[in-house]
Amino acid sequence: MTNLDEFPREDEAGTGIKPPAAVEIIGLNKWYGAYHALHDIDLRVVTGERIVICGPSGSGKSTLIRCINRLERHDQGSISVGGLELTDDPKRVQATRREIGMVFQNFNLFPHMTILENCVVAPMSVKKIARAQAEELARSFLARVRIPEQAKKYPGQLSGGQQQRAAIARALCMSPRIMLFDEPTSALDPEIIKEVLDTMIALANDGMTMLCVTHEMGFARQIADRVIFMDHGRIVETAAPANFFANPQQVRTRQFLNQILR
Amino acid sequence: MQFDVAVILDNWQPLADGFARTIGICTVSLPIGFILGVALALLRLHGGLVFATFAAAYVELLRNIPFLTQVFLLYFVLPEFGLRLSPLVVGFIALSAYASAYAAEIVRGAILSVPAGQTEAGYALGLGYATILRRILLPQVLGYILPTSTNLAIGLIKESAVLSVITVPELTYEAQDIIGRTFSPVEIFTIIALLYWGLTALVSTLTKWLEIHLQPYLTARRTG
Amino acid sequence: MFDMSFFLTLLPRFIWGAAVTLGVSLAGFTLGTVIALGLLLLARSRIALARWIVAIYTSFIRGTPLLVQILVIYYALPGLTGIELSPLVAGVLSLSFNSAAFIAENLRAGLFSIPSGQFEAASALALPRHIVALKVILPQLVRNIIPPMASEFTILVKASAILSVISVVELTRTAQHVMMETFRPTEAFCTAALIYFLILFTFSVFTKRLEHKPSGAPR
Repeated sequence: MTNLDEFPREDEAGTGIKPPAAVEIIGLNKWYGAYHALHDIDLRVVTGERIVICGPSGSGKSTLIRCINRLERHDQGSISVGGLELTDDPKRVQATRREIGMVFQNFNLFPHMTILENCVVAPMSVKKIARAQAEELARSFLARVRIPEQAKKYPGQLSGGQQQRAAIARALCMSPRIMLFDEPTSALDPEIIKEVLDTMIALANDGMTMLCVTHEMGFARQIADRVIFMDHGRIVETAAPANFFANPQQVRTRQFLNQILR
Repeated sequence: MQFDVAVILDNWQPLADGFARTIGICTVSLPIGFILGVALALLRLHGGLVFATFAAAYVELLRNIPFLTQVFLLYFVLPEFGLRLSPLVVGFIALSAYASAYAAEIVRGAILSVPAGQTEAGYALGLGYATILRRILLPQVLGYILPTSTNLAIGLIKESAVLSVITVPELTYEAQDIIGRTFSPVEIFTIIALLYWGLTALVSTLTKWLEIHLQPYLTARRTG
Repeated sequence: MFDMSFFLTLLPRFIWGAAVTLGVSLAGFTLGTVIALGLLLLARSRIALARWIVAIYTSFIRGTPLLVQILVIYYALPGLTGIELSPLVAGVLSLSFNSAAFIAENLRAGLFSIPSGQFEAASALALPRHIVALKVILPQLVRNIIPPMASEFTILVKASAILSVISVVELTRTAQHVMMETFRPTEAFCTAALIYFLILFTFSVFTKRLEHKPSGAPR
């Protein structure tokens, strides 16, 4: 398993004091009926860290990040976000979700709202930000994901790549500390994937804490601090990308990489 | 055999009264049924075991017993328990209850028809269920609810004719009353059939128009 | 409140009533299907008038109460044509004419629900036409048509209660008779309602396995 101290981000100043974890997962287990979906997961993500999680379908990678903002309820173990443990308390869940932005495989934009409406609905309703201010914020993020001209359109009028960038902007409008990406490019045509990845890379370069479930290994190489390989609900291997790709330790990791990096 | 228009003209007043009452009964019962239906649907989806079972039992009972039998049940059985209501009130109750069971299924089906990702995206943004329901789910299910509720509204208009059996003075009752006096079933049944037909046609035209105008995003074309 | 011995003594009459209910529904459904096939043929006719007649017929049936349709057939038809119909015949005819309009739509929708890709794939495999019809199209057609037809039948069972108005002694009329003889409306109508529920609910549970969509709004 991983020795977290290998990673310079943990303690760059060399003070010996651990910075607060953005996400701390200890002994996490989840079952769907008899199916053991997550098996003794331990994971500590520090602020500013970029994690890429990969693995075959059904390996539990999506379930893992969906547990972090409680779209899935875990059965055993603990998840803390920003030092606050996730419990059944709806207030606590709500507060945690406010700190975490999520981007889905199928965008999940609200089809009956314009892009701008999609972006302002949560800031206005959750953070009680005034419309004018929320719209200003939304427009700045839409500019940042380079689709400022699409603000007044409905999601159905945009291409897949534009929709996913709009979804990223929508998540950013809540000023999250952490961003979760659940296979953000899997539903996109190959030629469009790059525009979404570029947006994610820009976000990473701005210092956002990110957990990305993706099979885009080029992206992992470029920005990940750690790559995590999961299989059958367990974390099989964790390594810095250079080591992960050049020198995978586990047989299953090698098999997976052989399949995916034809 | 000839068609005697005079019979209709001579009796236009009771016909108009009956027609107005038919419209009135349905106009009141449909929204009441719908409000109850939304409540039942939410209970069935999120009410926990006890309330969900209750809602399901209510809906299944009303959907699996003929409306006429329900009307008789209310009309003849309520007085046994000391509750004496006028036929009109019984009619309102029966029609609203009937509408609520169908509306509950419409609303439930509609909510289930929205992809789970929509609710998840709402939760992920930190929205509460009430907000998700109001801002995200309900606006999207309009497109599903409108056409099916048109069918429900038309169903209610037609079902309301059954209330004539317990002497609610709606259109069919008035028609039978006139026929009893004039012995002209052909003329009177023809005119009330035309009135019902016109009314249901009007309702479906109206909602088709609404459907188009309430959901601009469905007709917005992709412009690139 | 609910008298059990009453219930047991009169149960045979209710069962007979239920049998009549099922009988008229089945008769109406069968004749309705025959008429529906005729409507489908007419709707595809090259004669505009024929198509118009089908459209108007369907719209009229869908737009007017079944009770009015029954009253027209039972009371107005003899006046118009001189043919006197017994309540039972008038009732079954009304159910048939009514359900035909809806069954025709089910059949039509079932036919169009088979994606053109199926025909294309079959042609690409160079399958002979009769094999395509028998092995590819028919099984899908049956699967598409059975669920709406089953729900159509349950709608007919419910609709048949209206035949009590023209004194066909089916289940609801039986309950009325029992009430008038015994002055026990609670038992009479609860028994009838229970039997309807048992018939319709078991039938719907049975067909729900075939069905994917929720059954339609009331007639």
